Amino acid sequence: MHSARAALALRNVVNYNQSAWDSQAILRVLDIPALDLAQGAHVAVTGPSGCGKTTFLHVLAGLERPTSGDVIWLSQSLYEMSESARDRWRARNVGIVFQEPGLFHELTALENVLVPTWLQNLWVEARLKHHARHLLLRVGVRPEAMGFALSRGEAQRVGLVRAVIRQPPILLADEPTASLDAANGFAVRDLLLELTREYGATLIVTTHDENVAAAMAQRYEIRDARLDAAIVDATARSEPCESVSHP
Amino acid sequence: MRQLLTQPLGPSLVNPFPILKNEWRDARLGYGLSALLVAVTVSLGVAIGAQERALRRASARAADPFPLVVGAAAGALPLVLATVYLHPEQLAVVPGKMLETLRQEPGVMAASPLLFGDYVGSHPVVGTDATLMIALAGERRPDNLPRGRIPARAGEALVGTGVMEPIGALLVSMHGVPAERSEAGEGPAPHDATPYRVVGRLPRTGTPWDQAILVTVDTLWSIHGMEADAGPVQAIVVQPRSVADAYRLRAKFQPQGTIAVFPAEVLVELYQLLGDIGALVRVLSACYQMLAIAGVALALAALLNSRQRQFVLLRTMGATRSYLVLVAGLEVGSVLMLGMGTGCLLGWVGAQALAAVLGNRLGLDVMPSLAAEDVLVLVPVAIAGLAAAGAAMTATYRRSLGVQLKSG
Repeated sequence: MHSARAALALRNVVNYNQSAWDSQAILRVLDIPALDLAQGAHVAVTGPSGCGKTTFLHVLAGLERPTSGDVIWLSQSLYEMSESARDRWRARNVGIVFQEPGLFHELTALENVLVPTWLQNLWVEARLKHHARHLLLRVGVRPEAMGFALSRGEAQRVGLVRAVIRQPPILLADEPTASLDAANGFAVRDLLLELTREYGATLIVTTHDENVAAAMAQRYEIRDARLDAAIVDATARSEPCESVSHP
Repeated sequence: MRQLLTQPLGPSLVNPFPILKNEWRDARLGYGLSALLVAVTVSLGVAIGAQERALRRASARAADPFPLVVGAAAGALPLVLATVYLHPEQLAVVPGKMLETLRQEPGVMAASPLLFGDYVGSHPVVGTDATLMIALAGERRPDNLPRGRIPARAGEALVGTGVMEPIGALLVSMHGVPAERSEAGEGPAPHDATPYRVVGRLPRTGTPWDQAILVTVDTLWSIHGMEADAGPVQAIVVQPRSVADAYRLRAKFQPQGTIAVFPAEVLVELYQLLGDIGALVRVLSACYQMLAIAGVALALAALLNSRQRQFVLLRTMGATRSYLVLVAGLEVGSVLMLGMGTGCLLGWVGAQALAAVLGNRLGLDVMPSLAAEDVLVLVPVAIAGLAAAGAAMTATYRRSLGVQLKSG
């Protein structure tokens, strides 16, 4: 796993959360001694719900500081940066797709896609606008359609285009197909793979969707706060995930 | 790997306006109501201040042509109200000889008689002399009236701009308070004398004197069957040569069965009384405004709080703190600007309407104007709004982004 080409690495990441059911109990949500991912890797992360997959993504994205440990991106330590430096790092390096598309309802599909560029530019270059329009047409959404008028599947595809418009080297997707029907789910999965492949981004997807997980080159599973390479044919996911400890 | 944007970007301009547009459209009710609250708060502050100052100025201007007034020893206030505002008052008379005495007095530039009591319709007829007519016209020479001339003999009348009859018209006067003003309800009795002929019109003064019909005092004396040159008068307007003369004259005519008053001074006392009431109104309106401003702050904080989802979303895309502060500042700023602009406009229109109503009742031209102190209310409103934005932003950054994402 330890690779010289590692673009993204986790070191000794441990995260505890207070239990939502018992305020005395502390849950160990993540305990990952080491993880190295090469640039351009396609990774699926599976595991029972409520077991830290979302927290794992948030830690990778610099959105949530782990209790201890660090995330290293091209030899930069994320959690040694200030919060605003991390915001800037995220703007340059990470695109995120959530289960809920999170569009601005009163902006058009095209404007929604351009929001990340407005965070850093007053004017959007014609070339970029053209590119955004092209991508939207490619995913089957009219660029002028208003956010509130889009179907769930369309909105998710717009969210996907928004996440890749600045070609971030890391694309994180948190259950991107969970609220979609099968057809839209396949479409979003294929677009994730296609778009990241086109410019060589690292794709990390948390999912329950076997169709998505199976399409990724690498698979991991979070179980008892640990991240392990998944055994592909293990599909039983019935045991509870809470691992309570009292430090 | 075609292109990776990993190089650090230098400081550059950002574009918060699409987000602002989305926010105003998406939560138009919340933004609109907040702006309305700001508008109402501001408009009341503006209207009250502008109106009060205008009324004060208009009534002070009305007293200008009457530096010193001498009358029978009774209340000073009825004398001033009858003279300056032509208010129907029961004034005792002073003998006509007094006029001659005053005219002989050193330090007196002019002394003009005033005799009230007759009406043409609702227009008061005032007996006086050419000197006061010229002073009321704001002129120095008798031949300089814009329309017509000063009455030269008995039976001629000079009318204010509020009297509709044209020059050359004949007016028949009645004795006593006109029916609509009389509380007893007895009708006025017509005089059998020859009517007045209108020979001139005063320029607009913006005072109750615009409604008056001015005749020479001899005209009234002869109508009422008194000897010419010796009839009684109700008040004498004295033009002193100097301020010192004015005070000396007032002291001299105070104890002689007469009183001498400076209408401006009496009005100042009256305003002081009104001012005390005004102070009470101001304290009450300040209390109201503080509540309203707190309301504005709460409304804006609640509004921004309800828009947290947008801030979280922007942060996941890497929005910097300064970008979010800019967006929140513009959101609050646009509410404040819209509310304040509308509020100033509403306050101004309100002050005009109030002035029209009050001015009409008092017979004064009340012209409100905005002064810096009227828009001072904008300062606390703006501070409250920006504080609310600051509080909302602080709340955004105090909570972990991960927690907010999971809870949202």
